[in-house]
Amino acid sequence: VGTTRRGRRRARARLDATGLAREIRSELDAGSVLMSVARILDRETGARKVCIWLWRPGSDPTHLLTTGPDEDIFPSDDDLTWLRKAAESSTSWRMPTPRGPGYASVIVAPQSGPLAIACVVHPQIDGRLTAFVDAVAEEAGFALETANLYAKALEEKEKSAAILDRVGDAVFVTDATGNAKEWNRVAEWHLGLPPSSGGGTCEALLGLNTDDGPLDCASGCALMRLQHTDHVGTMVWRALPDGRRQPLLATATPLTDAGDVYGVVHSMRDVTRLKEAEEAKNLFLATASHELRTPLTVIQGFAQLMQNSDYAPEGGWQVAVDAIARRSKQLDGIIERILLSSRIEGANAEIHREPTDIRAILIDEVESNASSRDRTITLDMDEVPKVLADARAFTTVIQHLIENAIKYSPGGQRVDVRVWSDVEQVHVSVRDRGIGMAPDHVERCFDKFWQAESSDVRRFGGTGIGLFIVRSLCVAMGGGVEVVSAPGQGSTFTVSLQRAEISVAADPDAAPAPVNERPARTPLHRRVDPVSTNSAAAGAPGAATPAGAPRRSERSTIREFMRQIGVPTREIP
Amino acid sequence: MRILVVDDQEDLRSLLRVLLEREGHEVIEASHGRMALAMVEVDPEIGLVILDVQMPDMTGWEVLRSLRFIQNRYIAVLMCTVKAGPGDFTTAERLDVDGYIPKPFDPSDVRDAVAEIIRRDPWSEHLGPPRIREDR
Repeated sequence: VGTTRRGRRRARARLDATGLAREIRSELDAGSVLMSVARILDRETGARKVCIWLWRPGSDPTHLLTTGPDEDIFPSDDDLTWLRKAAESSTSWRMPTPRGPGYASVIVAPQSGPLAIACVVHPQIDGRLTAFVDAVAEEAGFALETANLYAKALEEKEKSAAILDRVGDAVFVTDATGNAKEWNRVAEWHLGLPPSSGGGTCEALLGLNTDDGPLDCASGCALMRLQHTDHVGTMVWRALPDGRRQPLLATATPLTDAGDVYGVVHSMRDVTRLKEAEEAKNLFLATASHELRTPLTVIQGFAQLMQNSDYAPEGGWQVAVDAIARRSKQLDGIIERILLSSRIEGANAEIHREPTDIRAILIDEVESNASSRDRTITLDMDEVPKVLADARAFTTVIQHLIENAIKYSPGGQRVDVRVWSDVEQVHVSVRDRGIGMAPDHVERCFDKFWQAESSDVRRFGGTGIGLFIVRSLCVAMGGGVEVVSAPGQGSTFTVSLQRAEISVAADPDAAPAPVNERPARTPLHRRVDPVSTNSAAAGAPGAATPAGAPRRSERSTIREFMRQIGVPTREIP
Repeated sequence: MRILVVDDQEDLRSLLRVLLEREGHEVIEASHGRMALAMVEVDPEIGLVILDVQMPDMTGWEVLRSLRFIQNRYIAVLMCTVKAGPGDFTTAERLDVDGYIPKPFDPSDVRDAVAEIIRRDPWSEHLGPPRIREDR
C-alpha cells in the first residue's frame, strides 16, 4: 500500500482547495459520480489510462469505463479473478499492468461498502499519486452514498406522488406563503387545475368561498383558520364556469419542521352528490310531511269533534267514520310507498321473476280504479303472453301509473290502458290526456322526489316517489318504462317486460289470425284507435308506440323469415 | 249569514261543515270555484267563504278576485292554504283576504278564525259606496 497518512492529508487538502471535491459531490447519480472520478483522475494525474470497474465483494468486477483508446482496456478477462482478490484484501494496491505500472483504489461508500474500483496507469507511481487517487476514491465514496440516498428519495417521492394520485380527494400543497407547490390528479379533475403542478396562489387557482364570502388568505391560510379540530373539514364552495357552485369539504393541515410551518396540505372532497342527496331528502321531508298531514287533518279533526259526545251532526257521525277510514287507508298507502322506495334504495325489495299472467291484474286494476275514482278507463288487450314479472311488483307499477294518469288529468279525461306484444316483450301503455310534461320534465320525471311543480304552486300533492318506484320495479323485473309526453296533450307511460318464452308462431302452416279479427273481449274492452304519441316533441325517439308494435300479421312475417333462415319456431299460445 | 265552504276534497268540506255547524253556523258546500261563484250569486245570505287555494278548475285566488268584483255586497273570505303566515303573502293577497286558516288545520284554528272575523265585522266596515279598486 503506497499512501502515507501525511500524503493522504495533503491530497485531501488539495481536493478541497481546487474545488475537485465539490465537482465530485455535485453529481447526484452514481454513473455521473464515477464519470467525474475518471475525468478528474485523467485530467489531474496525466495518467496514461484511467479505468473504473463496478465491484461488490463476492462478485466479479464489471468494467464500466476506460479513458484512452478502446483496445487498451485492461485487465483482460483472465485478470479479473486476480483483481477481485486484490480488492478484497485491501482498499488500494499497486499492480503491474501490460501497459505499465498501475495503482488501484476501492471506492467505498460509508454505509453501503465497496461499490467500485478506480485504477490509474501511470509511468511513475509515487506516493503523491497514490494519495491523490485514494483521496478521489474516498470522495467518490461519499458522493455515491449521497447519490444512492437521492435515488431512494426520488423513488419515495414517486411512490408518495403515486399514492397522492390514488387518493380520492383533491390534494393541494402550498408553501408557507400560500403559493401552490403541487397537486394531485384528482385536483386536476375536480378543481379544474392545469396538469402541471406549481405556480399561483390558492385564491388565483381555486377562488374558494364560504357562505360568508371569498376566503381571504392574505394573512395566512384562511382554511386553516376555519379548520375544526375534529378534522372533518369545512364546507366551502367554488364557482364553476357555468355559474353553479361546487360544494367542497375542505381541510388544511400545516407541514411543520421543528415548529416552523413550511407549507400547508389542503384536501378537498367534492360533495356535490351528497349535497344533492341532502336537498332531495329535504324536499322529500317537506312534501311527504304535507302529504301525511292532509289526511291527518281530517282524521284528527273528526276525532276531536267526536270526542265531545254531547254533539252529533245532522245525519250522525257516519260521514266522519267514513272519512277517517278512507284517510287512514290513504295514510297507509303513502307510508307503504315510502317504505317500498326505501327498500328499493337498499336493494331489499323482494322481486321474484316468474312467468306471470298479467291479464287478471290489469282487469282488476282498471276496474277498481275506474269505479273508485269515477273515471272512464279503457282496457285494450287481446291475447297476452305470460311475462317474466313479479305479480305484486307489476300490480304496484300499474296502480301507480293509473293513479298518476288520473291525478294529472284533473279535467276528468279518459285514461287508456293498452297491451300488445312483440317477439320478445309485452308492452303495457297507460295514456292520459291531462296536463302532460315539458321535454325537460320528461327527462327527470323518474327521479326520486322530483315533481314538475315546485312545492308552493303544486296542485297535485304526492310524495314524488311514485314514478321512481315504477321505474325501479320495472328495471328489477328485467324490463323498463318509457314516457312520451307533451304539455297540454297528456302523457303515455309504456312498461315493457320480457316474455316468459321468446316466441314466434311455431307451425308455419297454421294460419295466423287476421289483423282485424280479434278474440272476444272482456266487458271492459273497448276498441280505441291507436293513440297518436308525440315522441318527436318529447324528444324520446324510439319510445314504443302502439303503431310500431308488431301485430299478428307482422308476427307471421317474422315467423316466415325465421323459417327461411332455418330457425325452428314454435307457437306459444 | 251562511258560510260557504269551498274545497275539492269532500271529507275536508264535511269536517269544516260539521265543526262550524257545531258552533251554530249555517254552512253550505261547493266542490270547486265555479260552483262557489254560482252559489254566491244566487244566495244573498252567504256572507263568508272559506276558500281552498288548490283546486282543479280555478285557484282560490282566482275565486277571490271574482268575489271582489261583486258590487254592493261584501263577502268575507277566509283563505285555507298551506302557506303559514301573513309574511308568505303578497301585499295584494294580504289586503284582499279577511283571514287565513293554515293547512293542515286544527278545528280550533277554524273556530278562532271565523270568530275573529265575526268580531271584526268587515261587512259593516265595507258598507257604503263600492270601493274603487286598482289593478283589477
